[in-house]
Amino acid sequence: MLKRSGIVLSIIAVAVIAVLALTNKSETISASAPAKIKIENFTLTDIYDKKHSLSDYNDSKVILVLFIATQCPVSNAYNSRMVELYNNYKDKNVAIIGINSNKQEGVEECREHAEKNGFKFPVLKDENNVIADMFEASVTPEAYLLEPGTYKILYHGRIDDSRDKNNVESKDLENALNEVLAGKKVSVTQTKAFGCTIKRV
Amino acid sequence: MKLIFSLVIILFFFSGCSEENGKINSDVQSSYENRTIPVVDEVWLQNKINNRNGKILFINFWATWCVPCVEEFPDLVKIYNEYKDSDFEFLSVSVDLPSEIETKVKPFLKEQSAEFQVVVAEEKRSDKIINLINPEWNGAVPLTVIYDAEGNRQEYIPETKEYESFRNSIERVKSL
Repeated sequence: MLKRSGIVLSIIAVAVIAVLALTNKSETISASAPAKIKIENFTLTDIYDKKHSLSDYNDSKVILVLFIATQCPVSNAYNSRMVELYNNYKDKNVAIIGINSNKQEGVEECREHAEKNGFKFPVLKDENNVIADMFEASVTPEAYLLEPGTYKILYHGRIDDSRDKNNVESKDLENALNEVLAGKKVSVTQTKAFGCTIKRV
Repeated sequence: MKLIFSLVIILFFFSGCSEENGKINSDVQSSYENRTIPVVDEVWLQNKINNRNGKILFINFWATWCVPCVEEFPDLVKIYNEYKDSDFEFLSVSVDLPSEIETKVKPFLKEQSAEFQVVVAEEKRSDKIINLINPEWNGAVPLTVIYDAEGNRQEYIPETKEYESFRNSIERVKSL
């Protein structure tokens, strides 16, 4: 009896291994669930040497974190749209934070870039890309909408669907922002776009 | 209206596919200015991955605005020239905008003496293209992927590499 059970268990084990192997082979076209990224409170210094913690924005309705760059043409194509986002949402209790994690873009360069482009939101320098690592951010621009206090990610991805402002059809980030502000569940929580790699240490 | 638009898009891509098999190869002989660089979506790429005809497929995603991509480009040209006469297919996917094909992509290819097949990824389909290649990919370029002759992804290289490293990856996939 025991021997028979052993044979049955062995057959089941072989079948499970075979199924796992086949599943792995078709990995290229399967849609995987978004990675579980755990965001915790952090403190960074901005381009004017002022410290900012995520917890400073716990009273806002939602926190928008934008990973940006000074030299990336894709990120730069969005500079004016970032300014518009700030102007459109600053009075709606939305906290907007820009983070530069690129190792080759120093604080001074970030300050010049922010001033030249009229960024009114704080731009924080992420030395040693510690925060980019925590967010698992890999491109610029890359947006995250966070629930204040819990820092749960409500939306992660692109700002919209075109580098060319005149060609935008889907304002993914704004759609998510508006849904959060309206107290609705975000309908599209993750999008992707081609962008510049964040240059890490 | 949507149906008509979809049909136009489908016809466009089918015409792109047929062109790809016939015209692009002959265009390699002609000048860089006259070569055809089609704009493709995830369906076109899926067909390319599926239709292997016994060849492995080396795909490199890049852009003219991407400094590391530009830096590794000469090594990719060298790889293509070394393997082009073997069971090896090279596909270069630019993520520049279609409006930049004439002004940026073609001049860059000419400068690099790149004779391999080049397509431009349709920006509006970037989400789908990224997920087709690997759902874990966030869209950062450069990215190189190598498929075996059965269309299975065997190498996923989300960073800049040099000639020797590309060569080792190709040899590994060829030996499978």
